Amino acid sequence: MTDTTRDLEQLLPFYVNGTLEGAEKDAIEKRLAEDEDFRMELEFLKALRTNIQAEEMGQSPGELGLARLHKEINAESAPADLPKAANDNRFWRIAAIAAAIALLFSVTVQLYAPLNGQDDYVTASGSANVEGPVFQIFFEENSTQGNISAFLAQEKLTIIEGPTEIGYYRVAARNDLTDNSSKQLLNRLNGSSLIQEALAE
Amino acid sequence: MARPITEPSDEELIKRIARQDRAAFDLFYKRHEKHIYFFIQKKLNDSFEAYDILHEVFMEIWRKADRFEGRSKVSTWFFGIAFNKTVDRMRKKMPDQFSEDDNEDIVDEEVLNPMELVGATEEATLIAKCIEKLKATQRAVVQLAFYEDMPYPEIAKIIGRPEGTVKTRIFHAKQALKLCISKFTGDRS
Repeated sequence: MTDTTRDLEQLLPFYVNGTLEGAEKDAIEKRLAEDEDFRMELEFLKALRTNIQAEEMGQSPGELGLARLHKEINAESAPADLPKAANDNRFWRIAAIAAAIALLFSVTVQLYAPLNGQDDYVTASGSANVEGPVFQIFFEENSTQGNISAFLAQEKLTIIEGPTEIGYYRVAARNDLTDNSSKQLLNRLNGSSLIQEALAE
Repeated sequence: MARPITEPSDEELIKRIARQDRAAFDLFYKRHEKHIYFFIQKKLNDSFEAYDILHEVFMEIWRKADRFEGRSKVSTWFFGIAFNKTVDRMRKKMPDQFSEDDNEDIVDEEVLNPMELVGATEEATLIAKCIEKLKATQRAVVQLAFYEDMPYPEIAKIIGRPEGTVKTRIFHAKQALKLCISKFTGDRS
């Protein structure tokens, strides 16, 4: 393969997506008129692009993602309601240490402890033997691991994925539920003080 | 991403977002969320990580819209944010999967394993599976070129590499895809 051929081959994808202009486009068209192998390359890339374009984007966070953004934007734009000790370095040092301990505890519990003594807790990317509807949940930042565990146990929910870095979980009901029961459960989730928001999948 | 002419352009929306206009932000989100999420998700192959990063991308758009100077297209700007955040996450999680060292060798791992071949009964599925086998750096370029139909100078800005790297990367991606597909179909052309 000559350098020129390789140069043109490297430009060919951009001829296929219609973004090539001027001299580069002319050079491609000249080579296409002369070279059967080059035309085959073109057909391959066209087929590739057609396949990629035909791919469905699938489900995205949509409204739930937007609601989450609103929450954070609201929190940022709210006037700071700082305690008197806000300018006291000792206050922030203690707060940071407390947060670090809480985080360490949370991670440790998630890594090593079964949820509320049950064996069916599944960590991120895992899957569980569940039959009921699936919900997406953002827990409040101040919800403790103990409170979350107790609440999920009470509602017979199992974590099937998560948490992500921003506290996003997917949970599933352990038992199959009627539509009405599922709606009632969703209402209870959204009514819980532990949960920022919940959405049924 | 064609839209009715009465709708505000991306540039107008970004100017409004810079003035903390929530409605403009919501419209911008609804217009681009799926594309950005798909782009991230394709690179990571992990919908939950992709959700996190999508959130971070839009928070950055909200916070930094006032710094957008209009020197590039809006899409270049936000895909660049998404690309960099995705790369950062991948570097943390899978440092061996995401070297930016331009080592474009075609490796055996790019070929489907037997279980994947069984599932890849249709041409579209086969191509999708082979694309998944590309290196993350190649996959990003292929997606921007063939899904978003972007010119190579714009892709170069998004990934922060020279234009020549973009062209080389997509060339090697094409070679890897041909190899992957030919191993399945027996076509050695």
